[in-house]
Amino acid sequence: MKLRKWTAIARPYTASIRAHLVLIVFASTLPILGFAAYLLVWNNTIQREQVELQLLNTARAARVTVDAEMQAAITTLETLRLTSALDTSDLDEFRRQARAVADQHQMWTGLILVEPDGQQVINLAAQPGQPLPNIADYEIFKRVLATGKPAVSELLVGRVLPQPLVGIEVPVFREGRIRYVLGTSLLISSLRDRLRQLVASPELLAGALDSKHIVAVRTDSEDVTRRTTLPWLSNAIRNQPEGIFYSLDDAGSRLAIAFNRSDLSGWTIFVWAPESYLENAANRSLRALYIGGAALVLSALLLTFLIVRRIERPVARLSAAADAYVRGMTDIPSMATGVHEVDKLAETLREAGLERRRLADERTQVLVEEERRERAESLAAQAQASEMQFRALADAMPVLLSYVGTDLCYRFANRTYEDWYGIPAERIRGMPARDLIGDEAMRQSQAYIDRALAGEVVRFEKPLALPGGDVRHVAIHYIPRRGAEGSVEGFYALLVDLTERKRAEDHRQLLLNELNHRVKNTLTTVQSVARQTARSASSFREFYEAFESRLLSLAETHDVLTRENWRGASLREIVQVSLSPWSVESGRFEVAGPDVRVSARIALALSMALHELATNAVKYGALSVPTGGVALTWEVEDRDSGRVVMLRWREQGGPPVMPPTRKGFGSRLLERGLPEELDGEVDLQYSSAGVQCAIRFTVGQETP
Amino acid sequence: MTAEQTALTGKRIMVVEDEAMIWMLIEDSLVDHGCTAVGPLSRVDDALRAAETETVDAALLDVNLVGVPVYPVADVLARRGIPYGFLTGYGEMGLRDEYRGRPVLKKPFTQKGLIELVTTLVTPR
Repeated sequence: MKLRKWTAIARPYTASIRAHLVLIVFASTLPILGFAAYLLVWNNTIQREQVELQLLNTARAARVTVDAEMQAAITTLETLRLTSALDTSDLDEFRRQARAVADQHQMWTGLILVEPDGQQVINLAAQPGQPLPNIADYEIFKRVLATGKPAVSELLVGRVLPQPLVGIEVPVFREGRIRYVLGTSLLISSLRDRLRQLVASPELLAGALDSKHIVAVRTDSEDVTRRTTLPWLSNAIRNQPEGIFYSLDDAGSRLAIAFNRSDLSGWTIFVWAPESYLENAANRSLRALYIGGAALVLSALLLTFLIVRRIERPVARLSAAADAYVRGMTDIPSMATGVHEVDKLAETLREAGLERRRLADERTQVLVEEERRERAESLAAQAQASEMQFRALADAMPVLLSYVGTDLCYRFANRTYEDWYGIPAERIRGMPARDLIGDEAMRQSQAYIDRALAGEVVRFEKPLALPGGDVRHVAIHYIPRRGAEGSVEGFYALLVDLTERKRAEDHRQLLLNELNHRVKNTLTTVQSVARQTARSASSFREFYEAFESRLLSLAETHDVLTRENWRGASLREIVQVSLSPWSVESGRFEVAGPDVRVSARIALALSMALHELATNAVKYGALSVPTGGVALTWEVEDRDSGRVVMLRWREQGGPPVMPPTRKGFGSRLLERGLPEELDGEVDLQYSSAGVQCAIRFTVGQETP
Repeated sequence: MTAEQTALTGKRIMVVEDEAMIWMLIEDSLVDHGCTAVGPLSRVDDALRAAETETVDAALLDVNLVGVPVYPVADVLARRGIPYGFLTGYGEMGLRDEYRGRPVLKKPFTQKGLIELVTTLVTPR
């Protein structure tokens, strides 16, 4: 349901079918309900008047009852006053007669006889010998004297009998004037009992106000001695002898109060009831109306709902169909709702929808054709760009990258193939792998290829022989490619050149092994030096000095060799380093010879030999005296086998030389060790003029 | 140098070692125990010749002789039934697979270790 703008007051209110039908229900039921309600109110009014009248009648009846008691008392007193005993003022006789009368009236409290001056002369209620009061001040007494007629008092409290009561007095005339006043009194409690008998219903209460409007009797209260006045009650009854009015009680509930005033006594008798007492009957009728009315409306609504269902659904479907049409749908269903107008409208909508679809289809056909053509062109362009991008990427990679089909022919090969195999990449595509890499390589790779074609990702390393004899160590990955159905359609081959890395690794391992070998050998050499130094030393100090000197000489030579990467050393440098501990004596060394490169092994051996010769010279030989000197000279001669070096050590000017009695470390090294180390010859002579040592060895031709 | 009379007394031990200082060290130890050190031998060809011709009770072979493996010498000794042990800075890992299990003396070595090895070699099994 669309919201419509209120453009004019005349525009009808817009609501759903359901709302309209509900309105109909209320339109038809409400007048009936209203009429029923009117009847009820009317009936209620009548009933209320009835009940009020009933209440008023009760009040009248109560007043009559009270009046009857009082009138009876007056009549009795009027009869008694005629007695002859009073003619003669025979009070004893009168007392006897009065007692007899009083005994017949249970409500009476007794009987009094009063002199006109107010002095009681007889009081039946008094004890014998009790002084009797004067009642001249009583209003009733004054009234009787003034009017000469019987009178009824207001509420009194007896002076002899201290109880609430109402006095009734009549004048006693003798010889034309009042000789006595004769009186009696009724107990208020007796009056109350009478009223209680009269209003038997527990909801009804009765009471009386005396002529002074003091509450004299209440059926719901025993105590009236407080002489209470009720101003609201006094006001209500002041100007009317009888009536009915409403008021609130102390608790705030509404009361209906009926009253009736007695002409005889001036007392007002009233009866009151809670308003509910009056309304109960009317309420019963109203409740029936509520329940009946509600049932009526509900059943009408239920019926309406059933009818609405029959109409609303078809209309809702029609509305939905119309909405669908508005939204542009074309397949509006036809309907069989059971509501003729709805079905017909739906059919019209359906036909309109079909017509719209036919038109739209024609338009769409054209658009789709156009779009399809554009998309195809775009896809082709994208594919071409993507292909070029991929090629550029693959060609830029420093690896062999190819895709091989199940027939083992290349489908793709990147430019690195061209670099390695010297065949243009375009020609490799389509070429059988065997033709490119050769039978041998194919044989080595076959097992891996089989695994890749079985769907496994394969990685292995192997040397790869290239055309021209170059061999490269490669890591090979075969990555199978699966087609849409999951079967392997071929595999990607990725070959990474590890040759350089492999070479570096091998070299590193070689160096490590060599270093280890050398360190161990050096340590063992040091061990040997230590042991042999120890053999010839006569004291620890001597051992230590000699050992230290040999160790430092060895270390110096190592330094030289390390500087040269252990590829060899200059002979001259070795000589200088070996003799450096005695450099202060440099003037006493005559060193001469062409420079020549020697191997590390020869350098070490020579260094140790020279160190021993020099040490010996300083201790025992030419350098042990200031006049001695050493000539160290060498010559180089080129031979077919290499360059032969002839090195001579000649001491002169020293003390006469005696051949050693036993061979020490030095001579042992020189004579036995050195020839082996140098693969040469050593001639050591202890001639008397000075030690002479000739060392002959060959250096490799590769060392210039 | 007086040597106690031991299992080694009078034995001839061939020592193939390219470092003269080390050769001398071994010779000292052997001589101390009453042996004779045959050598020095620092080249494979010299060592091969000695292995073929010398009469020795056992041999000590440095694995690496100036960069050349000593294994051919070991093969000749084995053929002749001469017991031998290796000297190497690498330990047993430095040996070729087929020679693993042979007695090996790691450099540097103690006197005691050397003598124990030689004693093992010359003791008939």
